[in-house]
Amino acid sequence: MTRTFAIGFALLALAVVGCGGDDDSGGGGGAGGGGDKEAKLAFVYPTTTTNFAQEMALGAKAAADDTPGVKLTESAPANVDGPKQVQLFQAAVRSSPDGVAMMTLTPELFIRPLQQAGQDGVPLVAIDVPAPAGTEDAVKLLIGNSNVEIGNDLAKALLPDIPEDAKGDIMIGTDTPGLPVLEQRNQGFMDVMKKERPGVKFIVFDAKQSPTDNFNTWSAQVKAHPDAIAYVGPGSQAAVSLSRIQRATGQKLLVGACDLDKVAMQGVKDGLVKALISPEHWLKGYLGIKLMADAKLEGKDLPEGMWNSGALEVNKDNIDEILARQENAQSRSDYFKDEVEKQLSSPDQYLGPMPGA
Amino acid sequence: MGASLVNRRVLEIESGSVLIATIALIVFIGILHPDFLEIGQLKDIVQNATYVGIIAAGMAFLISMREIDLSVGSMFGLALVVSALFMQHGMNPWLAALLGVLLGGAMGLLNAILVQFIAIPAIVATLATLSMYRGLSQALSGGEQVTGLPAESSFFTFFGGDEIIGLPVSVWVMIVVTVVLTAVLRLTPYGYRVRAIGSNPAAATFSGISIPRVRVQTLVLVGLLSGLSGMLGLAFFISGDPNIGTGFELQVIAAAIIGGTPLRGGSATVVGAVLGAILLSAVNSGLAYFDVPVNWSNFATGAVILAAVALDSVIRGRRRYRRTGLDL
Repeated sequence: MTRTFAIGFALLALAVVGCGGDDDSGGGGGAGGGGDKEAKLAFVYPTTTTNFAQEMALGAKAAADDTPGVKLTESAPANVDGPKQVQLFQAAVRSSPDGVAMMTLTPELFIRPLQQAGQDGVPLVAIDVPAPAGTEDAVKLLIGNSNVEIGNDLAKALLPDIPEDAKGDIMIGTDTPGLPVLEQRNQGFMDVMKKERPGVKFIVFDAKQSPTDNFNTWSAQVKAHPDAIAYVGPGSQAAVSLSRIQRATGQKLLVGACDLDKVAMQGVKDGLVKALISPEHWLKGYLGIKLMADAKLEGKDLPEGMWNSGALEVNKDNIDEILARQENAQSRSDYFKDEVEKQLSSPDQYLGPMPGA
Repeated sequence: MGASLVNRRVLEIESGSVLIATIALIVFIGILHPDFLEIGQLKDIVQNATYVGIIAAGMAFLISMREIDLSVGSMFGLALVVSALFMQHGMNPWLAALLGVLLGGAMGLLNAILVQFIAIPAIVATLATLSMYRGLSQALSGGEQVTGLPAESSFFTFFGGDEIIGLPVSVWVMIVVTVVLTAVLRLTPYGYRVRAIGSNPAAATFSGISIPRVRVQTLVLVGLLSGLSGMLGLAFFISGDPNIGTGFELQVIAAAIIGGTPLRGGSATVVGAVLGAILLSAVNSGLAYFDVPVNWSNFATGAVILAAVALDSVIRGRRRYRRTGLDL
């Protein structure tokens, strides 16, 4: 009986793994589209359960689908787990020697693995977060945004709703304190707000990452500071939690945040969220894989420097268009088609020096 | 006949079944993806297993006493962060690493004191210290990565990058820990006491064994191993992430149990615990070679672990039948 049970589990596992085990199958994308060349590429990202990472992964997959000959492997821990992501990265470097794109929330853990991959000659692209110091020889391309500008944009989006002589607090809930991209957004937000509305003060707190913790933290902060001028998050979860709080309590808050979570977008549509600044993560994932694929399959040089792929303010004026865009993978591809062509045809407009260079 | 004899011998060595399950898993993945069998990949698997493996070796002692320490991941993280901070402020890395190991022992001692003086089960005390130690890591580091460490120091190059006879130094550390702890468990009075307590606490007490004393010793041992593991992690990652080690506790316990240390206590296998960690590491690396849809990757990880454990169970079953003369 035990043996039958055990063998049953073994078969189950073989089936699960085997569903993607064949080189010609699975979600890799454009293989089989013709041509002799093949590019084995990988995208390694920090978590499968957060909106920004999912968007990047969808973009990477779309690039593979659009490019015959690309065999893409995507991998990520379910939750943010730096050492586990390092292990996935190391495996990706071996299974995908033609290039690995990587987004991580724990860049400092990758110093040695990135150096090793660089020494092995594997092309590397950092997505969104700069590679750590000491890996400049290995990672020469970063595709990201100016996060200070994203913070600036968020502040400008809220300014019309804040009187010039306003005095009071703006609550800023950071879901990953210390993460440079979020700190830079906060800085950009505060820079503009201090200049334009000198009477406001900022209360910055740890809003927690997980949806439940984030909701509980924001609920407590809203109760403790019911008269704050605005409630802001540099990440994706704040607008989700604050939409739910407004629905549950009937309060009307001035809310701004970043990224494009579905609940947050519905909040914009329903007037619960003033604006979301989208760092257009899909585009970054797409460009990272596409540029590596072109380098391998067409012999193009992989660009060097920081490729600023831009950001988008989502508000009541364009929310319907963005909701339609975010419907599924195909709708995203259709929306970004022109933008992708525009950026790839004139890279010099988007390329600049690496941060800190 | 000869092959049968070898097969039987392999089954009879300590943790032979988990060894076979691990090899079978690696070979299976290697057949589908030959790249997986490259020496570099196999080294990565074992090297990545060292952090969990070393702690699991100590956890096997604790589980064999019917106790569990849930704070191991946080002890790993706090020892790593504190040593990184020492180094960042100019302390000699070797000295800072030694202090990190000792800090691990001190955290284990605090766990033991809580268990003894508040008279609560270790699982409850360490559930609290899991949060306390993690919180300290975050508070001391200001919630940020501790960077700017002297990566050129011999501590980082030796433990983080160098190889001896083709294996990373950290793997040799794990091997030494495994050999020493196996000897301690099998050949010393302390090891006998650990197993005796788990086998029958009442009988152990009756025979004069001090359960509190052995529990303190074992919790300190687990703390020291967590600190040691943290120093190997620091040497490899060259930075102090305040969240590093989160979730290690379940991996460590899983490694020990997969390796053959039963939750009912009374017996333990250090070799098995380390092999269990290598098996888990092989699953993590192996799945990167497959196009498992990302939202199914956690399910696939669990299913593969179940398959490997099921194979281990079949092999153990065969061994039990052989021992009782009821060959399959």
